[in-house]
Amino acid sequence: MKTIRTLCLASLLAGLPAFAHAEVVIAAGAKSPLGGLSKAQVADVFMGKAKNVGGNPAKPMDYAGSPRTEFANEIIGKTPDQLKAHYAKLQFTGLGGPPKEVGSLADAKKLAAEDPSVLIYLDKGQMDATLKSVMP
Amino acid sequence: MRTPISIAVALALAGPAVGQEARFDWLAVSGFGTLATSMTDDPAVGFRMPFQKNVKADTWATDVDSKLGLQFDVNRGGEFSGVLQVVAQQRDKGDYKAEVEWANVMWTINDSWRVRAGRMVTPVFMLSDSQNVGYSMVPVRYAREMGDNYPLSRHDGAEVIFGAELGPGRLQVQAFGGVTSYNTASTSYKADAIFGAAATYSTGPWTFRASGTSVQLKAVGNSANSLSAIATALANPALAPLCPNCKEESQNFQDIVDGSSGVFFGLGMSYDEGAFYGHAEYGIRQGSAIVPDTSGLLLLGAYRWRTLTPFISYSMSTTSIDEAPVIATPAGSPAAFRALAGAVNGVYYGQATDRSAITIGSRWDFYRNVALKVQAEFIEHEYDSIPMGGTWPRVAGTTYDGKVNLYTASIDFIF
Repeated sequence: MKTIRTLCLASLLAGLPAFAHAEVVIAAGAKSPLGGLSKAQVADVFMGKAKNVGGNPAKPMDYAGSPRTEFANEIIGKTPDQLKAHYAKLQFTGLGGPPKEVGSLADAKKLAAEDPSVLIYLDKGQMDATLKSVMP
Repeated sequence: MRTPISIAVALALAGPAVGQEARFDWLAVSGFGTLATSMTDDPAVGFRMPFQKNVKADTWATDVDSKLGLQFDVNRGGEFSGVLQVVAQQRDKGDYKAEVEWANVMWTINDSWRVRAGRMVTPVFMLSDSQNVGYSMVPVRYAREMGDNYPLSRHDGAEVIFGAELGPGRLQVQAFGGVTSYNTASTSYKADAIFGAAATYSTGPWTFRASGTSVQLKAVGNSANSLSAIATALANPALAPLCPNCKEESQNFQDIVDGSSGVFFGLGMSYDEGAFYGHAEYGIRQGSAIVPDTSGLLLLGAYRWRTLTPFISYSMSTTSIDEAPVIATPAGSPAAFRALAGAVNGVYYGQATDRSAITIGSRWDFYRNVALKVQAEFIEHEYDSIPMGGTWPRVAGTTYDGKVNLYTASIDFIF
């Protein structure tokens, strides 16, 4: 019984960091020419400043349930609220807006597999063979 | 008007189900709004936007900053896209009125070139085109010391937008042209020709912007008749012995009816990285006829701490008008001449709102898509003995000491 309790506690402690702090990666479809992107390039694409990277078109995509807070803080360097304010400025001046949002990660992965310009962000543990990491 | 704003606030607060804009393959519906109350602490001076009629002093006013905007985007991000944005706020007649601020079709030719035609807000200064969207800003409103240099809003015409990578950052150049009309509570204007360009360079957290705009403006309607009548009266040769500059002033009053030019230049920069936000901007107006030269300066610094963003800013504006009357009235002048001089001087004094302002406040992003802001502005006007107008009308009393505080609380939201 003591062993079970210890294992439970260990599992809980081991799980906490992953739960509280998702490791976000930026991914494209496995056949996409995009790769080796810097944080600044990713930020430019997701903030609507750049539509291509290194000559390749890049289209940001979001989905319901994405690790938005971690992405905003760690990759863009802003809080989600700051990012929303930025998108509001773009959207209501007719020059852009937030990335298109689809219903689920599965939908986003499917679109990334079909369109080599699509960039998504996700928890590292959710990567699969249909995707490749473009940052880090 | 309160009901639509209340509904919009409820929508913004309602959570994920409706917090995200309604989005279809070809149509997206979204909006923004502000619910605000503001008060000056001096019964002699009120505060309003320059295009508004109502003004209150020393009592809370809810119709200065409160507004509601609704936007329809068609095929956003596509090769051809369209936008329609309607904004309801207090305007020149004193009541809430919805007007189309944006209505244009954009052709995205390639990654570098975009062209749009229709109605758009004129991007004269750094926040000119987004100043209606309180949620996009740290303070309650774009400092009037900058915004008042160009009180007009939008134009009907076309705009070419070019964007490219340049060095370590990105350059965007907007070139625009068109026509518009503009109404204040006392005067109606028509701008026959607006031309301008703005260059924005952004690299990392830094954004730099330079712009220049030219406007041909003339008064129209009843206000033009009144100004023409003043011009005619000033041209009376019999006034020459009393008033050496009446002939020159007659020409100024006639020029604003026939058409006069104004030129606007702006230089600005902002820094936005992590917890720190800074904004520095300088703008000038070179006026003509009865429209004075002006300048505006804004320095703002903010620090983000969790969901709070306290800020402090210093802003100032100057005009080419001073306290001395344009038309002097020597002792013993005829009553009719004194009345004429009073009308002329009143036109200029109404624009002499030279001032400096220190603003402290905070933004609190307390809920999804909603921000609460409070701020206090400590204003010092250059001239305390003249009847100001525009953003700071004198509403009563003659004992103004030149200092007034403006307190504002607002809720900004998007939906």
